[in-house]
Amino acid sequence: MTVSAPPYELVIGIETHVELNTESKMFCGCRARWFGAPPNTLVCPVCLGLPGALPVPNRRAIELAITAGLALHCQTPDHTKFDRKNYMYPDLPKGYQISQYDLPLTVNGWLKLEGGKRVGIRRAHLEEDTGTLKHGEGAGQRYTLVDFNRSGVPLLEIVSDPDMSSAGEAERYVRTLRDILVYSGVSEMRLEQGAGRFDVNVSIRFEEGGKTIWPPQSEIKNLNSYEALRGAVAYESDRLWREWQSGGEIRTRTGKVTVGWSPERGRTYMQRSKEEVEDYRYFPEPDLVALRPKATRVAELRAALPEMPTERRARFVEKLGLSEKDARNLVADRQLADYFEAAVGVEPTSAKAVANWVIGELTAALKRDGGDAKGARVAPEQLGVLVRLIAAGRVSPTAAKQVFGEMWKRGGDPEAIVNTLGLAQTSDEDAIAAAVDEVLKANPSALADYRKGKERALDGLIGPVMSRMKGRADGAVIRRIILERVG
Amino acid sequence: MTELPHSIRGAADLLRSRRTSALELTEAALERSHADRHNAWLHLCDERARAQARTADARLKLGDAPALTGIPWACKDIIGTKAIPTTAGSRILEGYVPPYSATVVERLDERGAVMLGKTNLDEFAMGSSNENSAFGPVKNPWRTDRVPGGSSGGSAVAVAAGEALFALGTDTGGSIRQPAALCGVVGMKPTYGRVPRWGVVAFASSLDQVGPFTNTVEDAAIVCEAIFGKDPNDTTMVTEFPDDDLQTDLEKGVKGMRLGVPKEYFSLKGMEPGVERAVRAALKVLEREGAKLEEVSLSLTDHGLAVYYIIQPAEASSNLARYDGIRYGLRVEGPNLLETYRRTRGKGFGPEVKRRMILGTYALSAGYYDAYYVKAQKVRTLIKAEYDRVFEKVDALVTPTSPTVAFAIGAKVNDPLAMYLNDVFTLPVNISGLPGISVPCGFSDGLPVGLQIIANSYQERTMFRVAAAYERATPHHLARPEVKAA
Repeated sequence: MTVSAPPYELVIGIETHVELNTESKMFCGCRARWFGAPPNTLVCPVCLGLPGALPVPNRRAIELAITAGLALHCQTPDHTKFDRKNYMYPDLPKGYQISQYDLPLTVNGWLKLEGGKRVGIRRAHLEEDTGTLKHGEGAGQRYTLVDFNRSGVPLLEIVSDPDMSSAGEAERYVRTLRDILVYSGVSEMRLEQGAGRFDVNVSIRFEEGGKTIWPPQSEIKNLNSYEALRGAVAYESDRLWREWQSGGEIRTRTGKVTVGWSPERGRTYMQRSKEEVEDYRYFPEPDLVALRPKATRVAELRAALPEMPTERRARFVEKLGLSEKDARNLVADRQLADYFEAAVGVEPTSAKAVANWVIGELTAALKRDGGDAKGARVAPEQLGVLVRLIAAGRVSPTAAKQVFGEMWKRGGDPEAIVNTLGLAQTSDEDAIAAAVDEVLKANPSALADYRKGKERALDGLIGPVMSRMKGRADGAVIRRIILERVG
Repeated sequence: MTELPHSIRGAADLLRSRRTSALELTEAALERSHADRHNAWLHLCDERARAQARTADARLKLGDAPALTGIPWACKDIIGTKAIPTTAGSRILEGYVPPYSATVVERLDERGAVMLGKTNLDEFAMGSSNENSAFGPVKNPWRTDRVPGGSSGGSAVAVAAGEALFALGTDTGGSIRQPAALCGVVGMKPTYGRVPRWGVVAFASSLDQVGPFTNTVEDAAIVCEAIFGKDPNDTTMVTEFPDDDLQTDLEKGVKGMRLGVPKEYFSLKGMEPGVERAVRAALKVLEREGAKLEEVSLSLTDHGLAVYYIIQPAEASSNLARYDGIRYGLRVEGPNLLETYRRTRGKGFGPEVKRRMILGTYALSAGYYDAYYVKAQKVRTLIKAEYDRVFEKVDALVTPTSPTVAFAIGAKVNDPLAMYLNDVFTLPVNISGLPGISVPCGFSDGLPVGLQIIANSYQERTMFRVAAAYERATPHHLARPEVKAA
C-alpha cells in the first residue's frame, strides 16, 4: 500500500501553553504545584478573586519567561506590561484573566526542527491559569464543582508562526519546543499532569480551477498530548477538505471556527463560529505597573542558558562518538544527559560504554524503583569508576551488573564491592579450562555441530561457562580456551 | 448623651491624663452611633469595639501608646474587615464576610484604634449623594432632608454628628472631599500610591485611594501617618518616597507661600453664589495670613469629567465582573449558567452601578476602545502635565470643593449628569493622582461649604500646612450641627 499525499497543502500554527517551573503562583504566594492536591487547598484571596485582593507579580515567572524567549532566539523588549482579558466563566474568579496583549515579554524568535527546518516564534507572553471544573451527577441532579488550586498558576503562551505543514511536523515542533523549555528550566511540561496544552490553527490550501483556494481555518482548542495533536490535525484538515468538496458552509464562511477534540470519538466538534467570537475588551491592568526588564539582568539570564538539546545531541555524536539514537535517548531527558556527562568526566575514554550503562542499567533501575537521574542511588561518578574497572579488565561486564545492583541496593564504592563479593576477574586459566571441560561434556551436540562446520555453534557455550565462573571470567579468554580444547 | 471630645488630639490628651478611658470613650461613641438617625451605619460591632478599647486602656497604662490608641473610628463599608460583613453598599455582597482585613484596617488595629463599625455609602462608591446605597440614603445632620454627599456619606456623617472621632473613606473622584464639604468636616485624599489599596473593594483601581475624615487638619495628619506607607501587597504604591512626618509643617503658616487660584474653578455654570462667596472669603483670609494669591489657568478642567467618565467606568466594569454568584455573595439560581449570571447581577446591582458597567463595557469594546479609552488616557496625561506646569509656579492650589452645598434628597436622582457635575472640582485631582483636602470654610443657606487645597504629588505636608493655617485663622471647623437624639 502506498500512502498518497493529501490533495491539499496544510498550514499549521500552534499556541502552546506551558506551566512555568515556579514554587508559587503568578500573582500570590500559593503553591503552584497544584496537581494532585485536594480541591481548593492551594488558595488565597488573590487567586480566589476576593474583593480587595491585588496581584503581586512573581519575579521568577517573569525571568523564566524571558529565559524561554532567549532559548527561542527571541528579543526581550525593554517595555512590557500586563493587560486584563475580560470574560466571565466559573473557573475564572475575577471575571478577567491577567495576561499580556500588545506588549508581550518576548517576541520574534525561532527554533530549528531536526532536519534543519526553522519554525518562527511570534511571541511568548505570561498569563495566569484558570481553575478547573468537575462535572458530576448526584441525587438526580447534574452539578459542577470548581477547584481553584490551578487558578493563578503561571502560564507561558508561546505563539508560533504558521510554519508547519504536516501533523508530523506539528508534533516535531512541540517535542522540540518541550525539549528546549525543559532544558532551560522554564517548565517541566508534564503533559500527563496538564502542564502543557496546545491550541492549533489548521488551514488547508489548494489549487482549484487555476486559483489558489484558502478556506477559513479551524482552531482546535486545548489539546493535551502528542497523540491528540497528531490525531486532531489529521482529522480536522481532512474534515475541512471534505466540507469544501461537499459544498459545505465553509465555502461561504468568512471567519475561523473553534473546535474541540474528542479523543474517545477520534473527531473534532464545533465550539463556536466567528459570529459568536468574544470581545475580550483588553485594557492595561491598572493594579500592576509596567515592566522594564533590565538589560543587565537579561544578559545574566542569557549567560545562564544551558546548551540546547539540538547542539548537545550533535556534540554527543561528533565529539563523544555516540550513535544518533543513543544521543537522542540521552538528550531527551536533561537529567539523564547530565548524569551521562558527569560519568564520562570520570572515564572520558569510554563514552560509548558509559552511554550503554546509562541507557540500559540506570534507566531500567530508575523505571523500576521510580525517581530521576538527578539524585539516583548510584552516583554518576560511581558508574564512571565501574566502567573504568571494566575497561581495565578488572571486572567482567557480567559481574559489573552485579556490582551495579549492589551499589543500587546498598550503596558503596565499586572497587570495594568487587573485592567484597569476590567478583574480580580471574586470570586463573586452569579454573576456566575446568569449567570449559564440564560444559563441553554436557553439550556434545554443540561440539558435533561445530565439527560439521557450524562455526557459531560454540558461541552458546560461553554463557554457561561464564555462569559456572560466577561472572568473574573474561569472555574472550573463555572463547580462546574453548577453541583450544576443540581445535 | 455624652459628647465626644472635639478632636483626636483632645481625646488623646484626656486618655493620657486619665480623665477618661478608651472604654468610656468607646461606650459614648457606641451610644451615639446606636442613636444615629441619619442611616450612617450599616453595621456596629460593639463587642469587638469594647475588646479593642480594653486592650487600648491596658496599653495606655503602660505608656508609649501611639496617638490613635483608644480612639473610636468609623470604617466605610467598602474597606474589607476580617470576620465583619463588608457590603460595599450592595446587595450583591449579601452574606459575604471577608477572611482578611484591608492593610489600612490592620494598621489602625495595630495602633490600638477602636473600630466602632461600618458606614453607609453609595453602592461600590458610585455616587455623590449616598442615595445609591442598597441600604437607603444617608441624611445630612445639618438638615435631614439634605444629602450628606457621597460616596462616603456615612463616614462623613459619623464624624460630623460626633459619633466617631475619625472615619476612613475612599475617594475615587471626590468621595471623601465632597461629603466632607457638604457635612462641614475635614476630608482628605492622599497622593495616589501612598495608601495601600489591599483589602479595599476595588471601584476604579487607578483612581481609588483611602483617606480620613476628621474634625481638624492636625487629626487628618495623625490618621495619614498611621495609614501611609509601602505595602508589599500593593505594587502600584510608590517605593522611592520616604515616609515623612506629616505634622512637621502644621504650625508654619502660609506667609510667603504662593497659592494658585485656578480661574476655571470659579467660572463653572451651576456654581452657587453662596459657595463662591464663602470660598472667596477664605482666599482673603489666606491672603491676610501672608500668602500670595495668583490666578492660574487649568484649561483642561472641563475635559476632566469626560476623561473620568470613561476611565472610571471602564475599570469598574472589569473590577465588578467577579460578582457572579459562584463563590460568595448573592446568588439567584437560574436554569443555566448564563441565566444565573443574569439573575444574580440583575438583582444584586443597583441602577447606577449597572449604568457605569454598561458605559465602561462600551468604552472598552472592540471598535470603540481607541476612540474612548485610549484617547481618555492621553487626555489624562495632558491634564496631569498641566498640573505639573502649574506646580512649577505655585506651592498649592485653592479651590471650592463642590459647586453646591448639600442638595435635597431626591433632587438629582433622575439626572445623572447633574449628579456627576458635583465632582467637577474634585475628580481632576484623582485623574492626576494628586493629594487634596477639603476644610470647612463657612456656610451658605445654613449649610457647610468646603475649601479644597490641592498640592503636588507627595506634598501632603504643604497641603496640611495651608489647611492648618486657614483653620487657625477661622472658627468654621468648630461649628457642629445640633444632633437630636433618637
